[in-house]
Amino acid sequence: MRGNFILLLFMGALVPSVYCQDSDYPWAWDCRNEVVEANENATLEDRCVRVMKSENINATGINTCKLTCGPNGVLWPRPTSVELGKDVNFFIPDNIRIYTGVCPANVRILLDVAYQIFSDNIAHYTPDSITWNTTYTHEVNIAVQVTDNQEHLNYDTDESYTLRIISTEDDTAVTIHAETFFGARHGLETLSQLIDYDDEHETLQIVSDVVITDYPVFKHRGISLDTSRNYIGIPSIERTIDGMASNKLNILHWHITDSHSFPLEVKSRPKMMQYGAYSPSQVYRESEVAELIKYAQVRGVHILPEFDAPAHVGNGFQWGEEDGLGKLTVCVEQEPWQSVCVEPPCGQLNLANENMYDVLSDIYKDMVDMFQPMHVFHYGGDEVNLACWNETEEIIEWMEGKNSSRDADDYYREWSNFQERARELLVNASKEVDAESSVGEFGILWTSHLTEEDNVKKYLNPDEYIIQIWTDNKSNIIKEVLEAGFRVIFSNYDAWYLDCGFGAWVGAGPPNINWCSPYKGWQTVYDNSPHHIAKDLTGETHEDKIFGGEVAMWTEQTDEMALDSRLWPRSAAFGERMWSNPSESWRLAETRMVHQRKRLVQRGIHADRLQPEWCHQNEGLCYAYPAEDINPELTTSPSVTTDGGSNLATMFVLNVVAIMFIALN
Amino acid sequence: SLPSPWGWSCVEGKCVREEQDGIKNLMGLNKCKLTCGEFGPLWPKPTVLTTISKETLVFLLPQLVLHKLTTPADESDDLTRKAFDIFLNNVAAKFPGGEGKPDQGRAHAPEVLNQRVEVEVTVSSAAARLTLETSEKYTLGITTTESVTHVTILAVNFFGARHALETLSQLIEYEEYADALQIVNTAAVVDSPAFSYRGILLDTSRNFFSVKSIERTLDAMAANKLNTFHWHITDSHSFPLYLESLPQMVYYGAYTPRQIYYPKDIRNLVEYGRVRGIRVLPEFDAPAHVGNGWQWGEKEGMGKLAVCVNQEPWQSFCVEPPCGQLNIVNDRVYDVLGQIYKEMADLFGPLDMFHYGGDEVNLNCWNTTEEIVTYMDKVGKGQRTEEDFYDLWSQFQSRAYGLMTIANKGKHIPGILWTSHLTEKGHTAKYLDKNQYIIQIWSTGTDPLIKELLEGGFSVIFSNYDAWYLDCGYGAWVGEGNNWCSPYKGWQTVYDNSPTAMAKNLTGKAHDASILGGEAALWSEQVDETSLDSKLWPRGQALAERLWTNPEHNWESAELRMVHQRQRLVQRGIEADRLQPQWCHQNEGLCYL
Repeated sequence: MRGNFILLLFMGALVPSVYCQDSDYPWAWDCRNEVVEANENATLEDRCVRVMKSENINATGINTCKLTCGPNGVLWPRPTSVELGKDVNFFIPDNIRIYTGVCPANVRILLDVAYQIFSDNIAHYTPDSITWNTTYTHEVNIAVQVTDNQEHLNYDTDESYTLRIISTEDDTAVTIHAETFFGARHGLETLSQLIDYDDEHETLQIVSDVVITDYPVFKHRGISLDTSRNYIGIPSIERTIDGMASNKLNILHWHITDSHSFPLEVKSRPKMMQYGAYSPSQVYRESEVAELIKYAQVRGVHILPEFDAPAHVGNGFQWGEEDGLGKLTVCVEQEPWQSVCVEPPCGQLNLANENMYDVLSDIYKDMVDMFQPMHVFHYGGDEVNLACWNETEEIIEWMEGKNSSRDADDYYREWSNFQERARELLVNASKEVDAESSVGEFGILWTSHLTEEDNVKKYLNPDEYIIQIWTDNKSNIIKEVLEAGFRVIFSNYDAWYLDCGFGAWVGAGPPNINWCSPYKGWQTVYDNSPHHIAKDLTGETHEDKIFGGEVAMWTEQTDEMALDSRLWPRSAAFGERMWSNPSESWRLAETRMVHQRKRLVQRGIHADRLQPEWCHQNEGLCYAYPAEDINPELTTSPSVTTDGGSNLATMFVLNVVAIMFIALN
Repeated sequence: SLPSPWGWSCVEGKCVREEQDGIKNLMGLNKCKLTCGEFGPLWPKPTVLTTISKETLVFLLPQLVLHKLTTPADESDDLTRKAFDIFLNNVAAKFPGGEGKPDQGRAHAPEVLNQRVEVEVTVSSAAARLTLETSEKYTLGITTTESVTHVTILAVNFFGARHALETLSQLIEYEEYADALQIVNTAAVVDSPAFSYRGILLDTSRNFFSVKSIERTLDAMAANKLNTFHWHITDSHSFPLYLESLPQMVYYGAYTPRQIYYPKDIRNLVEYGRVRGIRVLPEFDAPAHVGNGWQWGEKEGMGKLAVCVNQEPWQSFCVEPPCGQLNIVNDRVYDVLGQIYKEMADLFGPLDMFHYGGDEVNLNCWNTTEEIVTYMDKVGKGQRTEEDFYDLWSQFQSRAYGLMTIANKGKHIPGILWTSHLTEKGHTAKYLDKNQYIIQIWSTGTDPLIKELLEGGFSVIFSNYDAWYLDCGYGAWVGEGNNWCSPYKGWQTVYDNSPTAMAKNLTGKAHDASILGGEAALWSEQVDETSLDSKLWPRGQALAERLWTNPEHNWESAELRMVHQRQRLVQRGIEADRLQPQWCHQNEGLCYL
């Protein structure tokens, strides 16, 4: 006890006053060109190294270092071409001015909203309750110029932009030039990544000199969101769009309905929602959809609706018989489900009922009205279960009436007939709204039995359909559809299905994990290259045919509680694959990736954490190369921890050698 | 909009959805969930007796009152009143929008307006601090006479009483047709837990978690009658704990000055847990898993306090970056350690247990540190064999135990240690005293080590990683592929992990007396507060039923209640992950394989 008392006094005397100031901080960062162990080729690389502030006068706050260190700073996705200055200017938000230069009037209105979004994003960088120091008078003047008057994104949209920053002592001039509004908003997004808060000066800072020319490699950069298995509220969809905007993703593919629920208001058929919604409050009103489309538009995102058919329907269609239209769907919630569908609950459209086409036509018409302008539509079209149709009396009689032998090919033919009628109904509906509608050439279908060898050429026309590939990356179907001339979108499940790797949701014994396990880490998402997959399978990259890709968020096991952490930051990794299509692996992207995740969190997105914060503060040190890869002469295993006592003295020597070896490098 | 066409009826213990036709007597989904099935909506399942009637009564929140409270002491009276207020908030959260207020202007029937629910609580002992011996037993009775529903709660102490209120909150639901509440009109529950230690571990060193998110974790634990929040506060990555006598630790150790736990935060959390029936159990992991925070020793003339800190290549000196271990041959380390313990004992006290950590010591780190090598030579251990280092480590552990006893004002309390090289075959009996230490098992459920510990007479806590590590299954954070303990542990795996069964498999006996309980661990290399809730919950619920009820059956008979309990956590503001499509919640028993 006495010893302790003395110690306490002694320690008290030792505590310098610096520790008593909570705001004080011993660390600073220095951009150094060093060997990073994580780099497979052990080349020199710029990285921010944490040092003692007191021992290094050139070191800066962490954000200053990150903004200016390395060829790409913390830009995400990596721009096509970038020259980045090594200095920053400090300023406060009051001294930002944004001017619109030459620009069509309609675009000016969109830009004003984009400026507000940009300002909000900048505001998210700063801690709450900051009082700005008005002695910082440095001005940031931003000028934006757009030539084209295009308001809606489509496959011909030019999304390129150039961004220049030039600084004097008193001000920083930023110019963003773009062909379209969409390029300009991407430029603002990039600009927001050249700005960050600085803890040391308690101001904002902007990189002083920058030249960027930038455009995307792929034109279809999407996230598919399923709102049928579980309902996702509008604020959560908006948050998803925010995350997409931050990563220059441009298509929200909305898998609105499925056999589980039908949450969409179809004005001409109100019973769809009445029977189909999980509860009266879990619905999407027509007016809410309209607002959502605008919300997405100013963030550079197009909402692409899917109405999945003829399978993946069920709840919502139960009112047909009561209303004298007969059975619109068959096998709805039929048991045992394993016999008639891929997951509970079952359901498919009743191909034998002509009234079904009237209802389908009404749904399409209302969707065309809601999702204007519609240049592309998703028909779904996957996972038809032939047994369902073949066990339904009404369909059996109908087939027999056509003298069909009811084998698989007969059903494929009827399914493709259905698909052609569906296409005509949709194209007609959209031509009524817009005679120039391109939807006739841009219908999307999932890979299915219809896209298999022999079938795809027989049943589908490559001028009418884009095929969305959800097989694994080795599937022969990819080769089939590419060589048959179809345009494609990649969503191969072995890399881009974000629902994989969790527990099973139907039954199962050990290990109780879902069908497409394991979980797809961001590295897997990042490295998944459509051009490489095409080349491996066909010998060619098929760049003209590959429109892009989508990560898919099927929601059997996700609702808005964990939506963000499933989607993000992995969809950021996907964003860089789609925009920049890097030739290097994820390793060179890691430090930027971790920082981009932090930005998403600042913007209110509950993105998952990839690493300890220590790794964000100590770039390049969270690598996993075993010791022998660093020095091939070392023979110890990576789990050297406490192996073999008699070897310890030897290991000591070897480790000294290893350390010297690294130092010499 | 058009009204929902659906209603529910209870068929063979399952709620079945049907279309309303005006003839069938269908219920709302909530009433069906309250009254259908042997255990209704209760989670974790009571152990002794459960009866729940098929009828509910509709009432409004202001009519739910604490009618009478009998306790032997002011402290338990105060705690119970606080628990009742928490209970009322939980009930209020059942309204859509969560404010406990019905739609303005909705007219309620007179029988709804007049229905009262009067709660009477009797506590017989004054115990106000949880120990391993605390009885958490309670009985809960609900009877209804005319327009008054009487709820009678009897408990040995406050802890049982708050568990009873938790159970009561599960017998109340929102009534969707009347826009009011409903309670089952008759019920009887007698309940006590199978295991006395039911924990969740949170690591706040690899990533920082705000006080608010820790409170949310305690809320969810309370909802599941979990009783120990094991706080792995520090590690080699960061040291976020502010110590008044050692402010250097956070100065060097906190990630940023905004990511620090101050004494008032700690005291607040300890009390926040206590009124929710939870012990906040601190861990100070040593002699490995230290590093950042300890860099000031040399500057202040105390020599190196930690060695191998942030040393590269990390693979040679530790299990994950950044490295660091205490310099156990520097006597000043013990001065600092004693001081840390003293402040921790004060902040978290009175302590009934302490967690020393004690895992994953890397002998190569010490063996490549000149100061330690020299010391070993000096004490005649120049061979520096593994055993020599284990001796040194166990001496450290004894000194640490002594320092904690001093910090705890001379009172000996059980220390918890992770399984490590010190608990390996032949080591445990040599290095550790079974009367001083409880061993927390983190190896697999079939590790023969478990047999040795149990047969050596050690008390144990299970956290076998193959079922109860909730960080598994995500992408790797060093390198690529999936992380080391993949796959993800689904709730079914968490639920079916029975310490009793594992002990029986390995030793032929259940060892009920030695198995104190278990704990799910959330190591935070790949989680911070943005996805904390969905990684802990609802899987933490599955753990809770295993430890409270220790059921004979597997997860299948718990599935419907499990899915419903998850809904309850979401109502309480916990962002629990979704297990199934909502269709499965509305169509019980149809999501099978």
